[in-house]
Amino acid sequence: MSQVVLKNVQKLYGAFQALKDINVEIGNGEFVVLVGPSGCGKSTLLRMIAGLEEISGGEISIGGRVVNELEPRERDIAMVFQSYALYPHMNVTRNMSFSLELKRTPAEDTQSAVSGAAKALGLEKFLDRLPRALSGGQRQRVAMGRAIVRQPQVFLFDEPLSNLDAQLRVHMRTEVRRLHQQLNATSIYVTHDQVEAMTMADRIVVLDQGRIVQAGSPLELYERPANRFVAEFIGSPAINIVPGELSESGRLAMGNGSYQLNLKRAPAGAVDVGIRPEDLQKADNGPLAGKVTVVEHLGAETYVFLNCSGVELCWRVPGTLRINVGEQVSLAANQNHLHLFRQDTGLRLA
Amino acid sequence: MLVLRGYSRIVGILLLALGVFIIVAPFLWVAMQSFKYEIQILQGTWFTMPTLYNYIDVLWSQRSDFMTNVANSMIVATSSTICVLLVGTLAAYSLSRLKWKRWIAAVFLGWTLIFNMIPPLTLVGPWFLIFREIGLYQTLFALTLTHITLNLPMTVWMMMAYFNELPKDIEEAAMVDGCRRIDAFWRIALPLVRPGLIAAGVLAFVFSWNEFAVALNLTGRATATVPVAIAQFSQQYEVQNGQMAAASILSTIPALLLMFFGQRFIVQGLTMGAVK
Repeated sequence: MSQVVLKNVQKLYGAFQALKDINVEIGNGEFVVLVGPSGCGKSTLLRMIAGLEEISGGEISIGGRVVNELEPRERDIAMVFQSYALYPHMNVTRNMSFSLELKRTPAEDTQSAVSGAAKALGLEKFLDRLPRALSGGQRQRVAMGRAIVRQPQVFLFDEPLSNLDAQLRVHMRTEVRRLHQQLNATSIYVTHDQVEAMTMADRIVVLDQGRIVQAGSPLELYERPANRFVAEFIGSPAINIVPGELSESGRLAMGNGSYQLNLKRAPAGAVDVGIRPEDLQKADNGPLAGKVTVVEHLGAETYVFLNCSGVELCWRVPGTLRINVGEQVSLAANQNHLHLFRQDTGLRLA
Repeated sequence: MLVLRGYSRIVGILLLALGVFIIVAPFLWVAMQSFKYEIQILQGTWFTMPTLYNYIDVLWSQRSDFMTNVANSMIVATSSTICVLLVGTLAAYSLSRLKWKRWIAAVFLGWTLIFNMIPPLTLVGPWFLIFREIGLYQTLFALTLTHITLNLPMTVWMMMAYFNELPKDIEEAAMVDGCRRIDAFWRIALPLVRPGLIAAGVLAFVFSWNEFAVALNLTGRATATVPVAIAQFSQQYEVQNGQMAAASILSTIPALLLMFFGQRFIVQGLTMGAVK
């Protein structure tokens, strides 16, 4: 069993609280992605699980064993670093076998573990090379191979793909996911890239300013963001936020129109309305009208940006639709897919 | 890289030649004297039939202790270099990696600098008194201790530059992989700063080999090092110019060899961190 349980985990730097009351349970074989903007504490949290940062408060357990006071080497984890952190003076084979060497694993077991990992990662041709003679993608693979050969309880990934170019990143994303399906090991993956989070995770944990703001499956987060921050962070292109006014009867005034919402006990007041770019439709005399400012053709689909009396909107349309800059467009939102957030706290309403 | 063309190229080459001349000429002049008889030196003769008399006299004559002096210098330079590297590297690693309070590191590093800022002669008086008191005066051991003191700061500073350049991730990866801190130091960090060790070692050796002021005051006839011995060729009633020149030339050999093999590490070490 290799569950990872974080209970009220805290991190203090002097008086500054970098992480506050982190509570997460990560199940056996689960692939959890920690995501958030830079400086939100996600890497710190990962390093605390690895044992590279002290834990200021709370409890971390791996496989039912509290590891707060254990050294990294005693935690039975493997970590892939953003910088790859390969040993520059060792060739690929030794990089991968180093941990087994330290454990005094018999030579033939080491050999088979390394060749197995090399085969899975397509590194067989490079086993004698030093890291400096490898490309970025190959180095990344060696770093993963080094983690795999150990068969640890938990894999930790610290933004492992962020140093790769865009094309390779997409490729490696699939590769990491495929490896996880093969090995079915508990994995914790840190990234600031929400696309990576959405595509790879079984479950996403969103952090902001040292707190967990929401945890759930990618689609849960996309469809029911807990607050405006999560709504804006998850999804590409980002969600549109339009100011509106909610009346006690549940009538939402937005742009130059209004919607009757099916809300129980709607707190009246100013709200931010979140509308995903794909939830906008063309409508005559729709509540959101504006002039097209930019058109981005992606082939299969097109992003149309328009200025709607001061509010920037993004509208996702099929690639077949022809539209020009400067055109006047009138849009309506799909009423069932509106996300309402209180303007003052940003929390989701209803 | 700066590429010069036309006149500026000629001027550049001339300036470079001047620089080389200023550095090399005195050495060549001493080398020339070492192949002349004393009388020729005193007459100021420029071109003579070279003779090895001075070298033979310095190395093998009855009245010369030069081989003993070389042995003394070797012992002092080698043992002080080893100690300096051992202590300096560990200190530098500790200062660079362990989370010392800022002021502790600052005070330590500032303190070590003091030894490089004050003239070594200032220290010679107290050292003389201390060593005479504890019975170490005129021993190689005492001289070795003083050379360690004088060379340690430079080594600590240099090795710190190397350790600071080393990404922490690599050692952390090793610690996740199963290393204790000491293993990570020994198996990962140390092999990676080997160029630094070579550079710091060569510099410490050469400084110790050439050190004169302290050695002159703390050694006796039996424990004199090479620079002291060279100075003793010039005495009140007789200056043995030829032998002095020959001994000087001989004394440069070890340093020259070390510099030849170590220079690329030294240039790299002294400019480390200056530019990314």
